[in-house]
Amino acid sequence: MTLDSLHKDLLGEVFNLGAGRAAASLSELLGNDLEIGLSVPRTDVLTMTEMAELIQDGKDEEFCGVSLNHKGELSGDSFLVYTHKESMRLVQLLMGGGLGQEVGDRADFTDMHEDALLEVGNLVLNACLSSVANFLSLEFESDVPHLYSGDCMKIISNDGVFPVDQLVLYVQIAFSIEDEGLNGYMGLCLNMDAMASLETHLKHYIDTQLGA
Amino acid sequence: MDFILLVDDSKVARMLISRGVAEAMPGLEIVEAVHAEDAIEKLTERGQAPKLTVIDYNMPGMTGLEFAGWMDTNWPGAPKVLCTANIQDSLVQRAAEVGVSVLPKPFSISKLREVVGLPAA
Repeated sequence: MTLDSLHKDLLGEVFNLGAGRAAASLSELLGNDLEIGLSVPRTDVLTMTEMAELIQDGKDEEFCGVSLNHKGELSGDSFLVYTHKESMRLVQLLMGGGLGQEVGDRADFTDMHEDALLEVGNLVLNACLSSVANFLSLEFESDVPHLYSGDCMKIISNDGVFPVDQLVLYVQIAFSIEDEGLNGYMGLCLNMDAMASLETHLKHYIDTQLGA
Repeated sequence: MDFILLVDDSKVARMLISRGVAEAMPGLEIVEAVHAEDAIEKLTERGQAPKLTVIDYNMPGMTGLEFAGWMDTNWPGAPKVLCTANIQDSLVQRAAEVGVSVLPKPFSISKLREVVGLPAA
């Protein structure tokens, strides 16, 4: 895939809008008028291994993430990743009170914890993807989300389903809820078919909307 | 007793939706189904159309729109909304073509009232 700087800039902007929609959904879901900070999107063509190292960032912590597989013109996977500790804080914010307390590690997760994290992932990822699809006039079908925990590779490879050396288009946005000390990553990796489709739609948008 | 049917594979989503519909339409029993097939079984058992059916789109088994089609055949005229975070224009269009409104997740009470045609509180 050969994206020039204008295409890359547009891709970043499209995902920025998607992440904004996702952040608005998360804020409404948590119902606390919390301000959710978003980083500048990072766009790269990487292998799964490189992607996992980027998210893990040298941290020797257990991560927790929701992965969503999608098909169609945006075929690939998107995921929401945070440390295990932060995932518990998120459950507390969503459900209030005691649900996030007295949970030491993954073994203490209840069905309700898992369900809460899955629902947050489902809402946030679909909000972002829908925004991208609507902006570029393309279509996707998403599967039901899955929850994984462990190292980042396990989460983003759907527990080893995807080959580690596969090249993907990776778009990452970091998010934070500063008042609550909560940080995480929203990532999207698109396979080669989707990369070609995306390139076509980006070019079409630039030609028809920007006249460049 | 009149009831509202919630069809969603996520327990947390059902809890959140249940809270909203109970506030917007008080006094109705809320019946929960974990997927379309479960909803069909519950509706068949009760033999009564719900006052409102709130349906998730992405579920194991039938999709929300497929279930909406089943409802149209078996309970024609029963009001229903598709409640989903997947708010692609194409999906909203497909839902509109079969007469189903879309309630974007997460939703406010005022948005729920607007989508199901209730007067503003």
